[in-house]
Amino acid sequence: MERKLLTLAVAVNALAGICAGPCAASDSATVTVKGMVGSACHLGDLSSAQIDVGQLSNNTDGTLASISGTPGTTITGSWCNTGSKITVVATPLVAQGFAGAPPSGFTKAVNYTASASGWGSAAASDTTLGNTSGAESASHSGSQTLNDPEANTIAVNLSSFSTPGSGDRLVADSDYEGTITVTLATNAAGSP
Amino acid sequence: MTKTVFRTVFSGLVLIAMVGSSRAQVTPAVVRAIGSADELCTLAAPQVNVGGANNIGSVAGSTVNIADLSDDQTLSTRATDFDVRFAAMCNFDHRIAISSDRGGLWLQGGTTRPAGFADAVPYQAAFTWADGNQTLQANAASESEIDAAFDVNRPAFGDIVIHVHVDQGATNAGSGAPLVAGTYEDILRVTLGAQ
Repeated sequence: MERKLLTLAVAVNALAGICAGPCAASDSATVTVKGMVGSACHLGDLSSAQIDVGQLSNNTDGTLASISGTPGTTITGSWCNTGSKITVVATPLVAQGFAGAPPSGFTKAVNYTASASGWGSAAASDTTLGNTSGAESASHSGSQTLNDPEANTIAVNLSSFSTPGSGDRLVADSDYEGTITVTLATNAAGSP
Repeated sequence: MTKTVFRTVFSGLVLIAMVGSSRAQVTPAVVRAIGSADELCTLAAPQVNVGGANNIGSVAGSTVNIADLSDDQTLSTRATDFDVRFAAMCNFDHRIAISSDRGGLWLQGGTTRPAGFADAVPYQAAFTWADGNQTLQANAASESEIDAAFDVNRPAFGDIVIHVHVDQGATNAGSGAPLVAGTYEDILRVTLGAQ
């Protein structure tokens, strides 16, 4: 592309040596310099790639414990130079060591809401929908869009823990696991 | 004199520069959430089914008093039946065990047993829990602990039901032997725990 343009410029120069009419003593020229910055987003570093919720069951009756606070982590150094969309997808905390379906009245899954905040004024939140075996019958996600560029720290927190059925007891397991996936993407509808 | 001026005209020359790479989406951040649930068994206070019982007197806490252990006419053992329920839960593969401290209802107080009399009453404690059942035979053969247990290979919750049955005339001195006067006692212990 650059070579073609240069060739074109030389051709114009050569033609300029022949004045079709009166030649002026001076003239001006305009050079347009144009640049373009592509749309981009960058998701920074996690302060911790793991959120440990701790003991999930109540040691009085085996039901879901009252989990204090909102366990979380942060993603620092994120930016988008245009409008963006942040998306959160979470999966339930599921007992990894318990084979098969749990007996009636028990659950091997704990649901929760994962939120990503700090990216714009509203948080993107997603609530898991696991059944007592941890399976989810429908896909789900939460997202927020920003029209303006943003550079900020994203806080990822978990809250609103629940069992699939009210009063379900948790099967004993030392390893309940779930994942929270945070995605940052440019938003075509945004600016500039 | 014609003056020739060469003019240089650059018209429409556009320099295009692009900075940065265009990416619609960056690699997502994946956070692992973890937690745990401790192994736990719970056992509530016993509930005695007085309504459906036979020969039951008062119930005080976890003590069941038999109304009349001996028959007024024969002085031997009267039949007795009652159920005890415990609301219970274990959230892992576990074992239920029931033990009789004395292996029967034994006369307390060290009274010597005269010949032809009985100082102990055998009984059975049939218990059900989760998918299983078992019967503890407290046969009063000797004053010593007797246990019965079975494994439950899954978490479970509900009621442990123990049906205590005393046969009419059952004694450690043969069927129908008269009982020495006094207090007869045993302690049943229910344990839920690891296999």
